[in-house]
Amino acid sequence: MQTVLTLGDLKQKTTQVIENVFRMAESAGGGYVAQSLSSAEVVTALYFHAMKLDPLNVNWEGRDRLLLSVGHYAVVLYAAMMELGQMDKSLIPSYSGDGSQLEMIGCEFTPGIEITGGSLGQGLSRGIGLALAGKLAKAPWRVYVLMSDGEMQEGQTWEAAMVAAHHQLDNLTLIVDVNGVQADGYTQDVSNIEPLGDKWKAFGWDVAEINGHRFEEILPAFDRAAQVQGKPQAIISRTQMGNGVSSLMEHADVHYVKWNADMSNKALEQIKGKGGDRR
Amino acid sequence: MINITSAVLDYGTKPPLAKMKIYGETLVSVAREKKEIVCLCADLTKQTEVDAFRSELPERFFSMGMAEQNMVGVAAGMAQGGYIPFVNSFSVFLTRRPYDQVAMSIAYPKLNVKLVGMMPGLSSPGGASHQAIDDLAIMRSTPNMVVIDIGEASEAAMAVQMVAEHEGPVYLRLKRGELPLLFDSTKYKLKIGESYLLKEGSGAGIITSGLMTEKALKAHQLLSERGLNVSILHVPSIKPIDSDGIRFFAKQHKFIFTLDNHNVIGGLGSAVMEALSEKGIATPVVRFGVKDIYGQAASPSFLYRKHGMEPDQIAEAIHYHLTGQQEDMSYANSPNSNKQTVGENKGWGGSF
Repeated sequence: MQTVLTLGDLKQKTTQVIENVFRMAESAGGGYVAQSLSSAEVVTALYFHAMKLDPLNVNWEGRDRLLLSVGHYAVVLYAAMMELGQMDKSLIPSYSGDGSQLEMIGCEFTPGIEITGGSLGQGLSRGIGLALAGKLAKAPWRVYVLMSDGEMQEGQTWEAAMVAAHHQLDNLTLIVDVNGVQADGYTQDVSNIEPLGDKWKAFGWDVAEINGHRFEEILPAFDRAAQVQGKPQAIISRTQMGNGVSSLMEHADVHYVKWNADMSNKALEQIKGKGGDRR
Repeated sequence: MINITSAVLDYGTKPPLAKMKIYGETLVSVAREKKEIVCLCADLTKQTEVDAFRSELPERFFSMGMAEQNMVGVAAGMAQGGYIPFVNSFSVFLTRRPYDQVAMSIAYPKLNVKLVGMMPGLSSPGGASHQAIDDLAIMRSTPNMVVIDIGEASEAAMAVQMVAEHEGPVYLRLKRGELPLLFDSTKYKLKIGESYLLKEGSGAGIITSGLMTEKALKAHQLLSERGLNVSILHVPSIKPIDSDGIRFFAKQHKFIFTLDNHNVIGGLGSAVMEALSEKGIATPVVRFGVKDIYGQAASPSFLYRKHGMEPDQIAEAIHYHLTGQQEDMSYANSPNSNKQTVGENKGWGGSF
């Protein structure tokens, strides 16, 4: 469906995705901006490299499914769908407004958002159900689930981890955005979740640990995961909260940030100043 | 409201016929026809009667381990993928434990998942952990959820077919194992949102569902021996509920008695009161049910008697109301009330 993009193209797409996030956040006066910056490359890679999608038909039956467990990241998915052409950029000013189709925390009544993800820790279970359904129906599509590292603290995550491996769901790929920050502060201070790679390995998953800002690591991880047989795959994507925007990288109190046009422009200057290279 | 008085089997003083494992057998036969049905279970396969499904249709049976929150989410995913999951456990483990998952992964997106909860109310001797006394209240207040309470053999079989055909989330509350056979299933059809007139009398009207309906029929028998002919309205569909039928029924009677195998708060009795007060119908409603306390490990007969839910206790209360020989019924007999012993001894409904 999509054309193959070079690393340079992907970096440029990432910058555009981030700009869309900023514009939505400024129209709402705030948002989950720092998380969008930690996950922007992975989300861009999903939409423009890993997943089979139809830019013209968001509900194409043959599409790979991306389940956003961490519904708070919805804005970065909207932003990516806008770049892909699945969502109209004219919706930007309506983001998170009264009666808007683009809710702040992603819900499945928005086209392209597959599940309702705001109550954390639920998305992987739905991914397992969809992956089982896909196997039963011998469907060609794969299931991707995007989770935050904070969700590793929810008990349901580990119920799901066990069951997915038990049922050998090799059509299921989990990406954990490990930005190290949750609402109360740094994850290691709130309730430590490490060592994550060892945990997922111990639960019977195929595990890859990558720098989630480097396409040189992200793309091979997705390509490899799609080839794994007999095991679900966890991609532990180590990232920087608020990556590329200094004001969002200095401390941990950035779960939800107030945002305006001036902040967008300054942040874009910082990001574009590095030529879109944020690692 | 449909009159099915002619479908009520006359068992006189003899105990009703009982049938075993209706749910498990019916699910297999319905699933043979409806290929989208899949079956999920969390380590209670024999106990929820789906062992037959596991052996007959193993490719559509999914063992989820002892993890109900995940099971509910997996069911949602399978429904999203086009299947019709029947999710099986005890009622408490499908309503209390994974409630947020039920709400956010199934009810909100209106997914076609059937939650089948066994061991309703005081039917389990397992104590507070296993006795679902709040499941109807929880599921009734959940948007998009259809709630069905079944305690009879012929309607159990019909209910499985009915919920399989309904598109959307359903909570089906069932007792496993032996069920009384009270109705002739060839004479009526079970429908979502319908209520069924079982006995046509006067003065007092009993409104009942599930396992309490057998007790209502027995109470009816006891009252007729004392010269009183009361009415019985059977309401298996707790949500949507036949509000018009209930109002029509209540208007014809001096007193309404509701029977809940559930806390008196939030179950059928509450739903009846809501239906009546919305239209200003002033027929007094006396609620029988679990008296807003947790259960305990004891035989069902001990527990039903403790809560005043046995047929002779129901009959006595109704008799007193109709003949004017009753004490003041306005007392509060909640366990925290000083007057608790009055209510406990008489076992009647009261104010909560």
